[in-house]
Amino acid sequence: MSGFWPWYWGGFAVAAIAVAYPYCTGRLLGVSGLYARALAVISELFSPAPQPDEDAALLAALEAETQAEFGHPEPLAAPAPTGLDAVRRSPTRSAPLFLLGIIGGAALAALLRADAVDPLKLGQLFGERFATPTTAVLALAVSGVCIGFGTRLAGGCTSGHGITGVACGERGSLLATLVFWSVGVAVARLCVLRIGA
Amino acid sequence: MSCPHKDGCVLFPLFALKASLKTWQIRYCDADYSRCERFEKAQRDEPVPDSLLPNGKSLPSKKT
Repeated sequence: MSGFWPWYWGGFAVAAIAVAYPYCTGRLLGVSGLYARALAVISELFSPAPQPDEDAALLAALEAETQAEFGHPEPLAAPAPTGLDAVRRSPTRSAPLFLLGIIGGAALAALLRADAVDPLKLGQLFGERFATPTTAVLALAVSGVCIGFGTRLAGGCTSGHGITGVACGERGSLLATLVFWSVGVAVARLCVLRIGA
Repeated sequence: MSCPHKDGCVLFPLFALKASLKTWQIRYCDADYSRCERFEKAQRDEPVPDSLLPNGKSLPSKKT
């Protein structure tokens, strides 16, 4: 298959994901939040294991006092979830899985396109502006940092605000979407005009 | 109605750490906070020790 897939396929796919994600995880879809959670999980993996300290002793004393007061050690403990329930209740599982799905899905789509060979070729204007691989990678990296900063500042990204928030009728999301969409269009237009001049 | 002091209570977040400890929140913070020793002290504008439990008993204090 060559060329881009029909744009409306993407619309249907995004809508399906926006509906399926809350059903499968119990959380609203927001990709920047998923990235943040995944990074938190990764940072925990590399941080040193907590040593037994006064907090642990305090917690143990609290548990002992709880048992003395109420007489049952785990009165509200639910059975450990299994299968899909386990994924639903565990952001440490669903977030990395979803992010892997984004990367894997993009890779699969690229593989299915016979002419998609260079991830740095993002169109004629980008190629003219950032002609070498180094400048292209730098431009993408700086853009990624700016997008990351903006999404954390705004409390969400195009998926969280633009898809989920707007669909839920959140005023803040509507405003955020209006701002980043209109600024994005204006900046892209400016770039086109400057390059065309 | 929940206890009006729960946002500033040092023990409230501790009670959320384990399922067994949630009983404190359910029995005191969310149900009948008027019998919580911490609430009573706060209402009397008395200092509330971090180690004071809702039932009036005390946990071992943290060393500083």
